[in-house]
Amino acid sequence: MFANYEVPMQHETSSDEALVKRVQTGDKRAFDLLVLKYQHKVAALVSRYIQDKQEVLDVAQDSFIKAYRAIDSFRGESAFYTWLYRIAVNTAKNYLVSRSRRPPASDVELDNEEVHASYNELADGGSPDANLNRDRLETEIQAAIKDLPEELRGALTLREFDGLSYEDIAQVMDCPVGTVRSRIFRAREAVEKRIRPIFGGGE
Amino acid sequence: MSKYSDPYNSGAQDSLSAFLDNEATPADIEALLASDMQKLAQKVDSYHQIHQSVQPDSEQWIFDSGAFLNGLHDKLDAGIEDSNVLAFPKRNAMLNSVSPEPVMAEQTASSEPQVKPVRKHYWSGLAVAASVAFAVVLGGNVLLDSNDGVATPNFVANSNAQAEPLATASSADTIRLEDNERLQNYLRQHAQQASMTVGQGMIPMAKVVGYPQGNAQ
Repeated sequence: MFANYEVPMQHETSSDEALVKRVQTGDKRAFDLLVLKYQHKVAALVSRYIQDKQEVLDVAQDSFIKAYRAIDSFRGESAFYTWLYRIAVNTAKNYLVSRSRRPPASDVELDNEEVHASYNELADGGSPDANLNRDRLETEIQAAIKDLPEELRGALTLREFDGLSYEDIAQVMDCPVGTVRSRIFRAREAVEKRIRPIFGGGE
Repeated sequence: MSKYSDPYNSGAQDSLSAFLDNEATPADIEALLASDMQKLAQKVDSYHQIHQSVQPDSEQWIFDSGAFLNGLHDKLDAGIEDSNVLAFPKRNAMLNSVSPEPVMAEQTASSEPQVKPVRKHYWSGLAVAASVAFAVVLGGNVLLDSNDGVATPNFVANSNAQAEPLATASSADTIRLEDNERLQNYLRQHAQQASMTVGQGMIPMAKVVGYPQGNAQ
């Protein structure tokens, strides 16, 4: 699913291309989809430059805003994520330059409390409760994957661990691509059902 | 309220899974665009969590995608392009001039009200700095020129005085008392202003130091 974080994608996917064209014609929801797809990757990328977690989210948002405003200049000569990747890196670097010219950020007024509150709740590395919750979540996910039927676990594993395309997985598993797609989806749904209570939700 | 109590549009469920895998079809895109983005965001978070769990080496970035999206919309609606503007309004004025974004970003008309006050701070700061610099230079010159009624020798005066005998052994013996007092006043003044006249004061000081104090008549 989420491709390798270490390097930008080297090829344009047709869905990204289609969404970019829609954004260029004024479809904001198409851009929302691109944000949903790449926000975690952009945040992870920005976090290599900026330590403060809340600032990372701010800069990640700024990167998407810059991309949105400049989307008309995107000509499809590179993959959308490659282009977005460059914007995020530039935004993070410029943020660092600006940060070095101002006093410590103790007087920062957070502009997006909702994001930061939810982030702190889910990923506060300093909180024992959060660490415990995360450990429990990972354990539960591993157990859920282990309990999956063989064909679902195989499809999910080939996708998540090995990063194979649906077509490659279909060849490995000797089944139609549509079946692979369905198996991966069902596997994810089954795992997600197991982790809902840990996320704080419920049926 | 439960985050997951309201499953999103069932027609888009495996579309999202395929979309995140770069395997979406045009029909998937249509289905996703017709879905509730906030509910899609919840699913994205779950799928992302699964991905992170099976990729222990991947960077742990977990946050509420729906809130992230809402924050993004808020910033876009407000015309905010740089979070520095919001968090550090005064300081950002200088930063804007120091680190221009390499990424070409169009400023919309709605962003003007956010940026203008910041530029105002910038120019007013410059004006204050220029005023202080002007006052320092002017004040320094006034101090240098003020001599409390005592004529301060300068290059012109000294060069004009070359018609008279200069600091030779014989002329030094004939220096009058009032001339000597003038010289001593001059030396005192220069000693007081030494911190402000380091470069300029050295030459006249060097000239008058040759006049003997004890030989005044």
